[in-house]
Amino acid sequence: MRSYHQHDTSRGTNTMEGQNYGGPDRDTNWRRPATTHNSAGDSSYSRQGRGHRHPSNHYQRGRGVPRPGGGRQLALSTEGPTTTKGASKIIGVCREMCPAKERLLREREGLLHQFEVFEHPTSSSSSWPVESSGNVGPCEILRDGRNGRRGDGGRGNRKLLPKADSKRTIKSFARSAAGQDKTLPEDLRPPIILKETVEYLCKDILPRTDCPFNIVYDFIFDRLRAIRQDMVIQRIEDNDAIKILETIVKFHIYAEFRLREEHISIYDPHINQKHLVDCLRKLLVLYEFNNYKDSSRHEFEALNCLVSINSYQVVTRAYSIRTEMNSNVLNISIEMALAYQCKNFVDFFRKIGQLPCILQMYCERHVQSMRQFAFHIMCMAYGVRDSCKIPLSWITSQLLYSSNDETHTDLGKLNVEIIRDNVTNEKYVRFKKSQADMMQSATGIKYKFLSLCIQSIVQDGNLSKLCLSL
Amino acid sequence: MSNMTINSYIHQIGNAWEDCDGDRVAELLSLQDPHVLSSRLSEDEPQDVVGDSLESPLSEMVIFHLKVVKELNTQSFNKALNLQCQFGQFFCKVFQSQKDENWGLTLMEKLVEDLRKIALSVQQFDEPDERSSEEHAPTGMEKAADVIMALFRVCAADTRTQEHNTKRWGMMILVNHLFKIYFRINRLQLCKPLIRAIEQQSFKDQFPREQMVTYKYYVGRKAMFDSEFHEADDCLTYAFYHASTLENKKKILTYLTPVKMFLGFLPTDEALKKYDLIEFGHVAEALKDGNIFKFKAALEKSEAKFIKAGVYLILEKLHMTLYRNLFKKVCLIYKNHQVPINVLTAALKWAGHEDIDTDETHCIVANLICDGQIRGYISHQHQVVVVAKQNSFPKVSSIEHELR
Repeated sequence: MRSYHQHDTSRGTNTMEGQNYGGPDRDTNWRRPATTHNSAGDSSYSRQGRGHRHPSNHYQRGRGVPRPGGGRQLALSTEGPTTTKGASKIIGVCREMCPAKERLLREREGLLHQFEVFEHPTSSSSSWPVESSGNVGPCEILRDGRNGRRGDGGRGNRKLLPKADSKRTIKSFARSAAGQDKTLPEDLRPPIILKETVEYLCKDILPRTDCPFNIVYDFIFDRLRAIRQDMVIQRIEDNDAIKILETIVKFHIYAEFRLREEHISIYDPHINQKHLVDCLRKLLVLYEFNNYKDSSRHEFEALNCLVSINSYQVVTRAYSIRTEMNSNVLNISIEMALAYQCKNFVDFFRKIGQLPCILQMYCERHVQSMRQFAFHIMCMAYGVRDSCKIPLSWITSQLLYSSNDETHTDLGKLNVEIIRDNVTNEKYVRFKKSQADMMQSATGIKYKFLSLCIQSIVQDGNLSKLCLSL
Repeated sequence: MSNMTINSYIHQIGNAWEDCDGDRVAELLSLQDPHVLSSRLSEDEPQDVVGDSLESPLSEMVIFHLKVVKELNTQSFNKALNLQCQFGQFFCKVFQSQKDENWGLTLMEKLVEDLRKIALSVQQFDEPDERSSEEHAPTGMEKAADVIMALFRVCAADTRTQEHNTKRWGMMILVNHLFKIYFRINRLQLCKPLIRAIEQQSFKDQFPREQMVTYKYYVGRKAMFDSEFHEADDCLTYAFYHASTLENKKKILTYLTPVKMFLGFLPTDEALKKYDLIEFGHVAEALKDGNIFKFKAALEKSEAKFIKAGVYLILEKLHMTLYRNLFKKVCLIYKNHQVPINVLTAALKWAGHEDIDTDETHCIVANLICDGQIRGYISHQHQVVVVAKQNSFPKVSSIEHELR
């Protein structure tokens, strides 16, 4: 199980991009294990191929001394949009989603993802592990396949390894390490192929429902990361890069929305958020750099406002942009940030519904704290006399709970007294001032809120429309 | 001075260096000294002449300086910046090797100031087509910041020397230059470690006054950006009282006035007139009256100015105080301790908050009670606000703003 995370998802931070846009732990990244199970010529990988399957084996190797490759990588990464002048540009010539070299290698070593091989019509339904065990990943499955547990071959018989479907194999992410040249043009995909890859991922892989979503997520996350790496190496900084990054940001928002309730071993919200913010920052840089004025920009400038909703600086920046582009969505997000900072929960929850769907999804992360503020304020303002009671339905509608029952559950968790009127049968909430302090540290408040557009997305599932921004 | 020959220049700087006369060396290596105007110093190959007559490391520094002068005379700011950066890096090594002495500080001061100014010129003149922006930092500024940072490390690390000749006296001037750069390229998050380094010094209050004023001005602005308004108030007040020129005082007041208003002190018209900041006067007047229409108009009128200075958000946040003042008036007129919510909603609507309804009024009043701006409680059942019989609207300045 552990190997799944280490081998396939390549979690952690992309040093190349982290360096440019200042991630909090950028200094330590490059010491993390190099999770390059699939990269050409990586020795830790071939060891594994020979049967050293114990994952901790190369975990320790990776964690040891700084790798010599690190220096070169850092040097490369410091060259952001600002220093493109003069230096010779690397232009990729790979015409497929995956360079042939990598495809052959991964095929030979059984490291293809289930999404990348020819599908057996007979085994496709049974090839996925039971959903409840969730975190069994593709590597595990492939190993099963190699060992013949699928019942279609002998143990370790290499001939039975799945064949790569060249139309579906995609270059996977690998950190640069010593002895590897990541700048070979035949390994790099030009913008048009990158765009096709993104489109394929969003249209064909993202909506897949035949396996747990976290597997889809890990696969797409990894392949999109490789795309970002290709863009950095080739210094693609034009409108193509903008479109691709916009899609990636949306994907991360959607992923958070789908997986936020999963256990940390399946989905790590912090890493997802970090990549989201990294991509968004880079996107904003590129907007400025290209003087990009399309309407899609408004949405992401607004997102920036919502990401740093409590930041004086970001909102100040948003004000200065607002004068240049008269954008409704940006205005709403600024007003929401103001409402958030002034703790005007009524205004905040009213504005949520006016945002585009993808931003509403993002707002879930603020709903919890906004409700927390609201309960605190209600304790202070309404909790003085015993006779002061608030109708439960009023709280439900102001804080966008989807039903009175939900409100009831939340308030019950916080030990707030709820009484029923014997005549009208309506429920009332009785806050107490003494509970106010407790409210500020309350946990477990729901973050789901009543949103028509999110409901419709969940129902009709048109994810490519939601995420794809090409 | 302005037609100094190369030999005389070399002679003078050589002597000054031998005497460890930091001020004179600094003058002779500064770009603001009249000697840079001398056409006779622009030798094509200064290496030969200088190398023959001066010892290392002074000779290298003089060569760098003369090269920079030459590039600036031809307006090649980018080249000049690179050379000045090399000069700075070289000086950094020299300075570090000068143990237990700090007479080089004045030279460092001049060098860094020149460096920053060249970087600014690069940004202004060399690439007019590339818009400088918050996120996309101009490289020139960053290059300069790197050099200054290296010098800062040398100064900050000089901890074993006695107080009177430690290089740590140079920290504040470097920090101030870094502040100027970071505020320009919008990298405020980088300021924090610098502030911490200064605050750790035992003689943090004994730096020269003009340096202290600059320092406090930027720390105050930073605190405002972090919504730490009391801290901002302290720093900016110090800077205001110690600043020497009217122009600087005006700059400081641009930030101090909104912070003070937020903390419940309104500026007087005379003061605003004196410093030509009358736009805050309109805001203050509307705030005092609780007039939402007027308040909005005052913000809108000077919107561009406020946004540029970065004070627009704090002014927007004054809305809560504005509502408090309005409600206070309503309560005085209503002459009752129990004021129906509807009355307050009507007042808000009348004063300029068009799209208000009962629910939002509830929220606003509840917030004000929670903040301590109104003493009382709300009865949802009867839809009234019950205010305290005494001191129902405490002074804004007496309220702690930590909760906001």
